Amino acid sequence: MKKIYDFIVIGAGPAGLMIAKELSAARQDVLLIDIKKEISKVHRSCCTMLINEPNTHGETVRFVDNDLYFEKTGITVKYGHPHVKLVKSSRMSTGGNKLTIVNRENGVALPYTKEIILRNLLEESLANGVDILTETAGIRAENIDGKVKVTIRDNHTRTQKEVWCRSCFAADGCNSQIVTGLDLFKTRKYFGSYRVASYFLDEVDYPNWDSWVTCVGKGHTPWGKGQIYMVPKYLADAKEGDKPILDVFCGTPCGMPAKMGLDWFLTEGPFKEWFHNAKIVHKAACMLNFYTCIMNPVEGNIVVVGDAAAFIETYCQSALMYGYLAAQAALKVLSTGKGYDDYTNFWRESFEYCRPGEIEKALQAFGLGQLQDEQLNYIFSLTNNEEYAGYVSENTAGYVMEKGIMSHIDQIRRERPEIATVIEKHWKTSADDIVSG
Amino acid sequence: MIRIDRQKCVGCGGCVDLCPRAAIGLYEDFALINSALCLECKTCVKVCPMKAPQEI
Repeated sequence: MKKIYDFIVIGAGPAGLMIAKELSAARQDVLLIDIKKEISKVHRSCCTMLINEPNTHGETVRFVDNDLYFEKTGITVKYGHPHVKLVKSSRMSTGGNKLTIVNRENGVALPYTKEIILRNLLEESLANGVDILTETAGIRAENIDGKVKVTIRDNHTRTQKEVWCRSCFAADGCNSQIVTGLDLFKTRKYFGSYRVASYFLDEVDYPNWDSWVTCVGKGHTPWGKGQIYMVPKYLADAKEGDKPILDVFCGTPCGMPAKMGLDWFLTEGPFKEWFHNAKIVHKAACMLNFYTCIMNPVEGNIVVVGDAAAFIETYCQSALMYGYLAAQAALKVLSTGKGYDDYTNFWRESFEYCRPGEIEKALQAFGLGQLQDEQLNYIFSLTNNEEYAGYVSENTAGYVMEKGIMSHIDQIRRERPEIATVIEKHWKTSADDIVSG
Repeated sequence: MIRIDRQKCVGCGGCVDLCPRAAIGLYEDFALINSALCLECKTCVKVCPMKAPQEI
């Protein structure tokens, strides 16, 4: 007789591991499937910063005793590893001028190490008795007669087989194969694709260890498009007192591979002297397709959680939170027959990109793409000695930046009227300009 | 024929997810194409951030 699991979780990232851990703690029979061999190794580019702005995705998260504490959900996720406190978030032009958001007290964002979170959750899941299949892709989930048939594929033999469960969680990330196979995918609007390459660099001669830096302007990459981000963080084997390393990202919307942009930035870019002695200690990459959120993440007994249901990403912290809430909803369904409606409603209300117009607004805030580098240097020279209160946040940083630039608009109109015209038009830049190609 | 340059591939799995023929598997730290299944549609070439898949 074929075995029927209570739950199958596809994808052992932060959302999937959180679900597996919570359901197994409630003595459910859980199978966790992941394509990687070593679940806690991270090969995909990820900033992994605790976005500590209150009410991010309906939740306020902070570090308490070196663990992640979720105020509203009331949960603690074990961490126990150093994290970085960034007090500044800067947009930087090719000439090195900046527009800087500052929060000295709490930090603008707190980068941490994703591997540690995954390792801890994996340990807890294993201790709870979760069955784990690694090097296995979950490729399809189907609702059949009140159960779910999950088709999986072995990475080595490429043979497919079926496993059955009462309910299934698709937590297999932004390019979810499970979501692709479900009808609900057809309701999503496609915005374009984005490639990211990132290197963890040691021995960087870097002046901004207290900052999240976004490079703005055409001269940072060889093709004039794409974005460079830099964030200090700790490696998984770091100890208290160690220096952080620098994680440098290059994201590109156009046909050129992100790696080329990143290599060029480090060897020929405007800040190449910072990287003369740099050593690459780890490489990562990712490929993102931008789609609108799944508004109904529950289909029959299949629940889509985390990045798999989101526009771009839910952040690591919210993947943990949505994973926890989805697991609690599933347990409630077992006892009362209901529970997923609350989860769906919370998802729609809390995840900002579910709201009409939010995606378009965020894409506008991505960059001052209409301006030439010399014009950006001029604008940021006006803001160079100023500090604006705020956080690193896709949903609010754009407004803070706009406010900072607009506070100088009279001077810009006077000195450089052609720039003022472009700026006033900029906030209406179309989403297509950001992710085309 | 397309093959993955192991020096360049970091094992992010983007091509594995997006290959229309499910011809790519993910091993240790890199992806590997099963040439018997590959249609040479070049989806992997287009999506790879690291320029790892190469036509030979």
